[in-house]
Amino acid sequence: MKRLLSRLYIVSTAFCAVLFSFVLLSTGISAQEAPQETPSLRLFGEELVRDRTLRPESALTGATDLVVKDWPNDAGRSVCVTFSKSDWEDVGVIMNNGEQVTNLYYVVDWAETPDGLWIEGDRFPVTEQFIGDDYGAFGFLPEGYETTHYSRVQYELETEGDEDVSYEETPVYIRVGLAAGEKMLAGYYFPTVASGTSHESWFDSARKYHLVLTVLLTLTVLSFISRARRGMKFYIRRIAGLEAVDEAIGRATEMGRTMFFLCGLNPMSEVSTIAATNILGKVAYKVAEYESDLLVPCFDPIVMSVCQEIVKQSYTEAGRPDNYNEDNVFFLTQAQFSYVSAVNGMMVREKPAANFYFGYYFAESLLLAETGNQVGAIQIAGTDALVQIPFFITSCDYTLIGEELYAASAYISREPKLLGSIKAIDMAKAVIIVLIIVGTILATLVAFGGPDRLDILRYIFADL
Amino acid sequence: MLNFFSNWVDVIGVPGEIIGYWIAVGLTLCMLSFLYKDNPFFKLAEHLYLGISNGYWLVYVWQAVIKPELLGRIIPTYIFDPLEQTELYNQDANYLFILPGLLGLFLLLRLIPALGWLSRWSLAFYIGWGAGVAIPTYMANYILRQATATFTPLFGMGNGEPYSFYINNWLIFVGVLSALVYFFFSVEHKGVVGHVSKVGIWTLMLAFGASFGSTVMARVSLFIGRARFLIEDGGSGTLYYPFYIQLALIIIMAVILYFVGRGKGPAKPEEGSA
Repeated sequence: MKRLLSRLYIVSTAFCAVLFSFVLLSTGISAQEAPQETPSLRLFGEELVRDRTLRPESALTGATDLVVKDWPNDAGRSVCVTFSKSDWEDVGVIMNNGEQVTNLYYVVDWAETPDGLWIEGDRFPVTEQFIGDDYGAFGFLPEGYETTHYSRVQYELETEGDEDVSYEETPVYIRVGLAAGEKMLAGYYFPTVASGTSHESWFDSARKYHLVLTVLLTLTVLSFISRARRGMKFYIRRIAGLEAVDEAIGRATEMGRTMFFLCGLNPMSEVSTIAATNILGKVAYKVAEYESDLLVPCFDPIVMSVCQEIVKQSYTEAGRPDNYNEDNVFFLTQAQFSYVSAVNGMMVREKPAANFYFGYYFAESLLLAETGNQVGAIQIAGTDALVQIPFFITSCDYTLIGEELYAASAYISREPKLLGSIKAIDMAKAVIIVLIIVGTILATLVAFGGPDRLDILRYIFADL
Repeated sequence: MLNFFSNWVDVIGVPGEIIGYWIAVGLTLCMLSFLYKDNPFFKLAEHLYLGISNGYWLVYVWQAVIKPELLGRIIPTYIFDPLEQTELYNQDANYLFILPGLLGLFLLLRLIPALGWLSRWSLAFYIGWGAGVAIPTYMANYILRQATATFTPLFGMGNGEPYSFYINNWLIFVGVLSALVYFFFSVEHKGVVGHVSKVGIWTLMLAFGASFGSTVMARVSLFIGRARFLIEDGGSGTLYYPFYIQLALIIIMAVILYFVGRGKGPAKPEEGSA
């Protein structure tokens, strides 16, 4: 890995040097070519307005190739409307009743019958919403993606009695008009009306590359876990906060005081809470070995149930099942600040020697950690709540930042399967670093007027 | 003195809202008394807060979750909309909802030791569901979308972007890569990796500093809001409790605190702790 990173560093440095030379060279070229720039759109518009015969109202056309299809990868009841860009759009000014009109919007209406009640489904500026902006929905971009507008129109068909209307069989009709801001322009509904149907999708094909990446990542994790089980040793760097866990537990035992372990405020379905409960298992094991006391006040009843199971298991594994007291892992309340007031109250009365804050926290982080600091406890925190990390850093002795929280359980336990997964995730990070470098280089080339080769990367990463 | 009593009678003579303000002010002061040390006023407010919040959540879960989303689906003809007194769902019973109901009941079986093992089924289902939902969400939002956002040009030519645009892009590029390198756990942070990870931790600390400053400002704004509530009667604009009553309340609390906590100063950190 080290060798790989070193090589990566050398290659990227060399590439940056070449890129920089290219930039210098290109800057010189641009300086020579600068006088040949085309006039700005604004000037072109003014010329257009002065020559009113150039675009009379009757000559204003648009949405002639209106197409209505099912919007892919959704739960149905929405259609995708596409039509080509008109030549007057770039100017941004048209004549209406002898006055120039700017701030132009396309308005897309839908109806159940061609001559029925029209309802507005979408409205967007005439210079926006091209297929090229929406990689995930349209897949590899079709020809004309930069000059074809799209619109997603969601609609509800009227039901007849108790019978459900089939959206797959009943067409919806679409027309396109022009508006100046909120105000519709009289007579500017284009004559073309098109129809289409929608259907529900079982799978979101826009995310197929997410599936591929997830499967690859999973296979990498499984591969490294398998290697770890076969005895391969993995290095894991020092995490200062976790080195102090043993010290904190030992100190609490010597002082004959209790310890607090908090799992954060998120439910059990969140990764940070799962990581916190993993660490709780290791801390509870040490506490059981030292025959000390650990209090776990919980914010969520399901988290409490999980914590009870984990602590009980740890006491059993440490050979002290009789010392396990179920009442030490308890639920307080699900109201944020009443939870804080209760924990703070307990802290000042119990005067714990060590406090562990792992998981996800909100505004209560500083209130908790400051009280713990005031009662003189050693405090170790770990959270992936970016806004709360600074508060823990200022008021705790040790703070695990972001992903260190996830690595903590592997670090404490040194279990092969956890170490294997840490190694695999590091590999994934290396791949992401390479992708970011490649993506940035491609974006830079595009900025120099090169061909846009970012489509593939954007499509793979698109999330809709 | 007469004026004081007439004011007092006026206050007591208006029920509801004014009494509510008084309670809110009293409880706010009780909570703030924790800044000095633990005391009976804080204990009163703490236990009240805890009890009320649990009572509130119990009713909320019954009214907003169990009644409409569980019983309303299984026995719709018996569950009414409290406002319109009509059936909440005009549809047939959906007996599939018995399954989540059972899983919920299993969690409560922890109270019966002989059947407590059933709660593990619920926990296994819940954690499995949570992990399943989290994986694609994290992959999309925390990895792919973030990576895409860093695909920005580091240099440009004649496209009208100001220099600050490229400086920002460089900061993003260097910051993201170095922070990622800092979070490599299976590589020793020495040599090139060590230098880059140092840049990474500096980037992180700068970000945390900025975040700290803006959040503290938000907290100060919250405190100002509460202080205005105390001084200006909850923003009502009407002086329900004159300033000297507030002052008297604070003095009385301070005196009681003094006698209760005499000789027991705030806890001091013990030597040896950080």
